[in-house]
Amino acid sequence: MNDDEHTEKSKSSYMPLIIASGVAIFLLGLAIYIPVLVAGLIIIVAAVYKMFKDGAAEKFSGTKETPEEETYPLESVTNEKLGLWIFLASEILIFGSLIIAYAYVRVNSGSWPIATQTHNVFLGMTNTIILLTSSLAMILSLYAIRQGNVKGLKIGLGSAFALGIAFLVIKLGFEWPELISKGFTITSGLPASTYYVLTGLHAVHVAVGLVAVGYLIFRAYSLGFTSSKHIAVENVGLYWHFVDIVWMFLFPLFYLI
Amino acid sequence: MPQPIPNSTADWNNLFNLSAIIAVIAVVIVIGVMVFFAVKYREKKGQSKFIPQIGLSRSRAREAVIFASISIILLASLTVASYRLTPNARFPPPVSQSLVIDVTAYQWNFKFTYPNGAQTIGECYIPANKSIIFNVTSSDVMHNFGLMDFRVKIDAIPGRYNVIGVTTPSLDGNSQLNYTIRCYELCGSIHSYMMAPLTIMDPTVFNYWLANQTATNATLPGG
Amino acid sequence: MFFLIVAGSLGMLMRTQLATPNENFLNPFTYDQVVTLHGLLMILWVLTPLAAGLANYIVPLQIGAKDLTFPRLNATSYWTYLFSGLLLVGTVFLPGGSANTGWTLYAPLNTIQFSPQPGATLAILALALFAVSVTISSINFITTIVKKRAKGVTWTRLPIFTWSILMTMALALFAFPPLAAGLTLLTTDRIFGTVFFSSTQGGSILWDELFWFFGHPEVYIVVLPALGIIAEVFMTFSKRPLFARKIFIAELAAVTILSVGVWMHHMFTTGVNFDVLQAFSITTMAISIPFEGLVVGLVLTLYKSRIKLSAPMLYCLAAMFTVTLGGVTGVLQAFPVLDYAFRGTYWIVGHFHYVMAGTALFALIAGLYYWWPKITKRKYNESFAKITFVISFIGFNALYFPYFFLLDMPRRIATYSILSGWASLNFDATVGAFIFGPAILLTLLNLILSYRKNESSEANPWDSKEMEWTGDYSGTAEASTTKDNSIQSKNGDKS
Repeated sequence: MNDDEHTEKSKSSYMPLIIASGVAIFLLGLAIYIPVLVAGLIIIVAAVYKMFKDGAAEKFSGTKETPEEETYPLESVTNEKLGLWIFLASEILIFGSLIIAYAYVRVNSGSWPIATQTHNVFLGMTNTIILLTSSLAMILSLYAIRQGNVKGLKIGLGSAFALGIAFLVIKLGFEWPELISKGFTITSGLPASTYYVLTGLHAVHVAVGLVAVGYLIFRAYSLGFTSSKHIAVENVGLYWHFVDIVWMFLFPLFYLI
Repeated sequence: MPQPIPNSTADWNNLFNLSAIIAVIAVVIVIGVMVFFAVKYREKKGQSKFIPQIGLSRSRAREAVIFASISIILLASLTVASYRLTPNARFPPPVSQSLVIDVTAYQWNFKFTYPNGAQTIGECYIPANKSIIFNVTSSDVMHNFGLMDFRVKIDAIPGRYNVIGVTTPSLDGNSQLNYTIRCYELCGSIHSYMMAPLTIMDPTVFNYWLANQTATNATLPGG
Repeated sequence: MFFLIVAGSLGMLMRTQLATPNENFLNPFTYDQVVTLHGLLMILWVLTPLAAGLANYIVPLQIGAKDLTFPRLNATSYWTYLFSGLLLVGTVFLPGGSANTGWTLYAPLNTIQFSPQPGATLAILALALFAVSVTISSINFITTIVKKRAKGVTWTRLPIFTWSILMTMALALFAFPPLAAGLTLLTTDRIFGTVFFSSTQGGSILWDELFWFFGHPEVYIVVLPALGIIAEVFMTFSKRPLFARKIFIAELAAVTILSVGVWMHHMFTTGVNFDVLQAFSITTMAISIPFEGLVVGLVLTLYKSRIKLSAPMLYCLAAMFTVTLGGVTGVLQAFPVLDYAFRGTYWIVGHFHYVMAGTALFALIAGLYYWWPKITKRKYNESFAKITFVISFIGFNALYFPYFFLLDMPRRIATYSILSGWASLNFDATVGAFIFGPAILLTLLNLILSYRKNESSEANPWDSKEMEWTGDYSGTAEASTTKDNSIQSKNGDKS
């Protein structure tokens, strides 16, 4: 009852306008003047924070499904999950296009540095294991909450979050500085450019995923999840698995071959 | 339309004319029928009854198949015709039988390098009755090397050599034939002015001229 | 609407510059920016969003949903679209102006070395933001059409316009990410100094591939909703169901799917392996077959009908003319040997203006007129609409038909010499522009004025049997247009 009221009441919101303007200002700054970019970032962060506080996933979810609707052949998939899958389809395409561009560039260039000598395969492998474990943590947290085990949920989410942070720390704090000190910078040539662009874009996706997982943790401690109301956990988990799978492609493409 | 070059563009013109005629006939039929229906079946006063759907009856299905087959046959034959013409440009006669000229496009002119190392800028001279191979590239942005009179063009892409070949016609009593090379890809502000005259000369005159060229010495041939 | 006026004015500027030889109305650098912005704005910020805007209103009505599945995402998509467009238009005010590469943004002209102005960077970022907006929108529409249909609206009963939007959105989902990928690489080139497109190792062709893999489906994204609208208008104004409805839907799907496999026909002159190009020539011709089927199916819908020649119908008839003429000129371009002559010339400009400014724009105007009473509950002035239609149609053809005779005039040139012989046709075209442009403004005026008159329209002024007008989704109404039954009429008439 409480939820119905909640959904009916808050139909309009300024969030779309604010987030859109934040992003636009960010891009404007990127093109012309860095302080403007910072201003845009501040707006975005503030908006996201407000969304956190409002338990925004409740507000952003679609209209309720009524049983009289025609939904063949996807009756069992919720609106949000379908939306997320479609979004993931477009993400697969963007990473796919970039990977194909990388392949094109590499095949057409005369020489390419040997991957195992350029990159720290040990750190790369560690990161791979970290991401796989974090995906496992997400799955376990989903199992936990399905059985109503809130403590298990929190442990799972927390572990996934910590592992994600570890991934970024290893990549940005150890790998990249090491590469840069060897002269392998973003401007030093195509091998470096493709590496940084692809893994960088992936890292951005990891960061966004961390924000989402962070939101779940935030909510686990405030509004809470129950064994019947936890769809967000599943959806964020889905996104997180996708990010992991992309890494499964990037790792061999850049570190091993 | 630029003057067609005898024996080089006649085939192209024929193919174009044939395709254009088929296209125009198609448009006339389709739109003619449509306009005919629009006029013939206009609503008259007091008649608004809804007409029930007539589904895809068997005679319609047959017509649909006939229509599709005609289109496929037409398109297939045009494809074959066009395919046979293409080798002229993309697959020229061997280098041993041709004159090879390197073309470098840049902002905003063309530089031509002849087999003996001589270069001309902004103008090109070639002999009549010869197979000419142009090795086209660019030194900065993407340009296009367009010989509209021969109905061919090829992109000038930095870092890449694209080959295009033409066969020059005979002079037929003219002392020379004058055509224009233009750039057909937006390449910056002076794109509008990027063009070079192409002169086809008598082979003897051409050989004499070429022998007297040194690099970057672009004098007008024949005195 | 705003962008239509902006981009339209840019078009008028171009025609003014080209009216006479050796004109110095616009300097070449400015002219190139005008060309770029006119193209980008028209294709991406006018035609696609007009269709999406109509769809936003009409698709829920057609399927019996209350709203799109994610209303707040919908708002986000709208605001990002608006801001991306404002950013793009704003680039002209930056020092050095905007991008000057043409809407195709070819490399290496688009790199910081050859286009150092920050306006070009911002234009590219604006384009990326627009891609985000479209992706959000497509997620929303696809989810809605799949999951929020009212009872009785099964897949076979789905209205044609909604089908066309579903396919458009699916195609958009597929097409925009490669563009985003290319823009990402270009952005890192321009801002961080990577060398993807400055590189002399295939950098240009990499952009060509990425861009056209997006670019070709993009133009079908523009045209598919138009076909959907034409189908709807034809049905209502001829009081006939669509001829061979299931085949029509199948042909729409065929066009959608094939459109991702034809992109290299924009690259016939790049010197890529010829066998590959020949394959693309074949796929391009293959796509014309279902397309012809669509056109013929629409014409046959009018057979033995009762046609009311109101403004929406007139615009759709015009759109059929332009799609046929534009389409056949496109088929001619599918042959590499012919395209060698067409590439980069005004023939191409003529072709795409016929299908985009002609078919898409006319169909969208028809859609606006057709659904105006539904959306705004107002009546526009029908006679005024008919008059502006005639003016538009004359102006349109006067403007674009001459282009097919300017076969050797290069595209995007700012001026030409009197020796070229192009002067008189260019002048005629400019006259056409000054007829067509104002006619479009008058059309908009007509729609806006309908608010001033405050005369509300009846609920179903066209007496349409379509579901968005009748509100009856369960399909029990007699002789519904979405029923696909092969009824023979009473006299056994088989036609």
